[in-house]
Amino acid sequence: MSKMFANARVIIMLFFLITSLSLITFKGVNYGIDFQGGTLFQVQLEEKVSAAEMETVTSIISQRLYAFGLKDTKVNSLGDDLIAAQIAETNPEQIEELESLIKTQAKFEALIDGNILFEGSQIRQIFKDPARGYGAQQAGVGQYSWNLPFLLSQEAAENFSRKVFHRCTAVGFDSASGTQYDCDDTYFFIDRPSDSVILLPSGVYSADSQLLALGNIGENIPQGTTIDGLQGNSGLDFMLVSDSNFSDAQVQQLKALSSSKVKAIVHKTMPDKQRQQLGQLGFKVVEVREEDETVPWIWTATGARQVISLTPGIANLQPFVEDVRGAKIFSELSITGSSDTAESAAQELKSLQVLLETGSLPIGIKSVSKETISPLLGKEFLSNAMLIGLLGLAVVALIIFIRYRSIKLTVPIMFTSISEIIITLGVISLINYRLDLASVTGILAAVGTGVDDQIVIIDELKKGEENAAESLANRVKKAFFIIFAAAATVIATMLPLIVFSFGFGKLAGFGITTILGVLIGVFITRPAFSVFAEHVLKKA
Amino acid sequence: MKNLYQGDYKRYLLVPAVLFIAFLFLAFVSPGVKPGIDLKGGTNIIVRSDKPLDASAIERALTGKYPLAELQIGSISSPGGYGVFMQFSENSELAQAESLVVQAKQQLSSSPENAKTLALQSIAISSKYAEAENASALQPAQAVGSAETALLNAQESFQLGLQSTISETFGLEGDLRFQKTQIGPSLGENFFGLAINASLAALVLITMVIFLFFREVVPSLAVISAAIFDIAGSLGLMAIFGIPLSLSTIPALLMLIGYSVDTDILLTTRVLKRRDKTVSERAMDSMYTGLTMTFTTIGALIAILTVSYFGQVQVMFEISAVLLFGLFADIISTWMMNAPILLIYAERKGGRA
Repeated sequence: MSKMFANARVIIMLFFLITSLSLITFKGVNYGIDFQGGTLFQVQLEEKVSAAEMETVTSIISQRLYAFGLKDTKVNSLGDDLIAAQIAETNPEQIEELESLIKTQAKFEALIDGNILFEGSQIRQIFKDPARGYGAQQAGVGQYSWNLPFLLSQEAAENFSRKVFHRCTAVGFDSASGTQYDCDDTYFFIDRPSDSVILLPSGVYSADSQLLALGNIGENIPQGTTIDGLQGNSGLDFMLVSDSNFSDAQVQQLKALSSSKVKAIVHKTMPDKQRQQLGQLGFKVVEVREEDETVPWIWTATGARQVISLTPGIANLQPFVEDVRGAKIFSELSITGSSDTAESAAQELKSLQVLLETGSLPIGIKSVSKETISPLLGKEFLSNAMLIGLLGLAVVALIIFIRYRSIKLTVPIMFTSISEIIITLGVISLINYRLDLASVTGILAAVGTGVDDQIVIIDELKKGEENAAESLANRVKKAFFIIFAAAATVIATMLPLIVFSFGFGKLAGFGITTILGVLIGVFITRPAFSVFAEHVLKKA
Repeated sequence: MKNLYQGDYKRYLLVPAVLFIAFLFLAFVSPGVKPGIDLKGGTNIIVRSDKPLDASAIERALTGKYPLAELQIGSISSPGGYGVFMQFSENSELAQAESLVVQAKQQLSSSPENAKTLALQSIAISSKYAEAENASALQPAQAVGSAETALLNAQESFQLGLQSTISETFGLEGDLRFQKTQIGPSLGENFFGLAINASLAALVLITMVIFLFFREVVPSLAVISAAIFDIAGSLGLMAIFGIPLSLSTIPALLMLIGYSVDTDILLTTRVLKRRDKTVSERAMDSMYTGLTMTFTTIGALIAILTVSYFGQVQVMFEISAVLLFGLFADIISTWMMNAPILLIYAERKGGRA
């Protein structure tokens, strides 16, 4: 017995088994929507696009979903005309809202004091040419600056230059560089909900005030931002609500607003009663989720994306122009920023570029398909899948026992099959693959071929007993020829599925785990099983 | 048990030959394998509950409200709970509104007035589902835009109406156990093409792998024919039992090649590469091993099939049904087709029969 466990093949298998068990226990296995619930959108584009265009389209779609306050969103491109987005949301109303959001063009707007400076559709071109200053570069020790030049339409340029004219105040004078200015901020939005009234609960108001004051680098919120500043610049209607009832004044105000506004944006804490009241007033109630506790809810709800400070130059202060009629019209603008690392500078540049391009999805959408599984059904699927796995193993054990009438042979087969499942799950945990129904079925199918192989090994070894002339080792070798040929055919059939479906979806899910299971079987568990079987049969 | 491969084993070949033709007829002529909604587009909804769900009530409610094409409704009850599934290919009114919008868009530059007429027709349909603006006074381009918006709103309102009809009919509130899949027809086509390409590539690869391992023409062809027979068998039975061709069943059909090759390789290596007993004894020996393999898998598949049927785990149900059908076919293809072919081949090569 001890000799058996000292065998290299057994040690390798035990090593993988223990590693996988600890991975599953401590790292865990990720579930797809089949098991945890959620919605999968599949967006088909009107025509095939290049890899670069595809990258733009996927980042735009993720931006839009992101704008809805959806965390845990995964957007992948599949080939050259398909995009898959997976989200945790399952509420049918929210899903329909999201679908319209994906289908319609998103709108980029830059505002100051509630006045639109320019819109996405007015951006003629983004110059992605380093010769024009595009890019990120080192500006000093531990400092990297980036620059994004773009061109506005003539009309937009005039509007912009007039509205930002002299929007800086002199704060001091320096003999070397002249007058020092403190310039106003412009606010950038995606899908600013101009048709909505935003109902801000007082609890959220105080939490968001603090968060905005602190700033958030990841969300491009500068320190010292205020709710008033955000409201004033966004030009949106906010209404502070304090308790579970609207005051009479608020009801009157809402009534007045209902003629111009279609939707009421609410926080998740808004009680049903108030939502119904809003509905009666003719509003369509839209709940915007919180991204997480570090992102102000109001930032998400308004669709705010960036705060960009003006420069004295662009405000016609350097060089100084006296009268707005003489203002220099800037059609070529550039936005600059800086960061501590080259990566984050490049990242900031990229996200701003996507932001400006968002207004114009470069390609139309042909259709949106979706699959929603509620979290409760997901749970039921998961327990059913486990039950199915256990039942399958039990049936296999029973048939093997009936055929060979030997517990000693049944136990190693079960041990090997269970190990195969565990090691496959371990690898899945390691590569962060999301387990779904198709991939669980793939694991079971692989275990099925595994059991077949073990039967071949047993029968080959048993024949060895009848015919002593042939050594046991030789018999095992013959069994392994059969096993390798069978494994190679399974891999050959499943590989195209993965390649053609870009490693995604039901087609690939089944293929990936089948191949994984077969490889693990051939190289790890079956060699060890042949040691167990040789041991058992020699004793028998 | 007496050796089945002594005496006139050639007559066995008749069984797979007749069955192959029958399977092809069933799969492609009548009743034919139907593509599932993920390959042709459509909507599939599953609702699960702890209390009984009345399938005929929901059928009445849905058909009373919406013109749903190819509507199928079924229910399941098991100790684990109750379930209903509903499937339809499209809301025919909205499909018409959509095709009108598409036509209107195409004709917008060539004949704007015509496009506007189409757009107005589309709006007339969409307005049954959701309020739409009166576009009759608009310019053609605006009217088409308005028709698009009206269609989007109508689709949204239809989906929400569908949802509330279901919850109201069943009296379900709060956290539901449901699955809703909605696939656009063009996406289905896209997946279909992808699956066909993947399958063709798989068949080429598999042929290469088998020739690489056997290096003899007749045994390789026998193994490949057996795999094709198994797939045909599975397709034939899928047609009879109404299991659709889908993104779940296509990989399963390909996986069948893997299972079928297992037993074929076992048989071929034992018959052609061994020298210990007579050819027919070796064939008989491999049948014991091969049938153990197949019946073990069949046993496990029956268990999986039963639980997934009652739990409405569609993916697993369809995959296990396809594998089960294929394995039954494999018993015939391996032991009534492949074995006789190999025995004839071995005899001709000069083995002792």
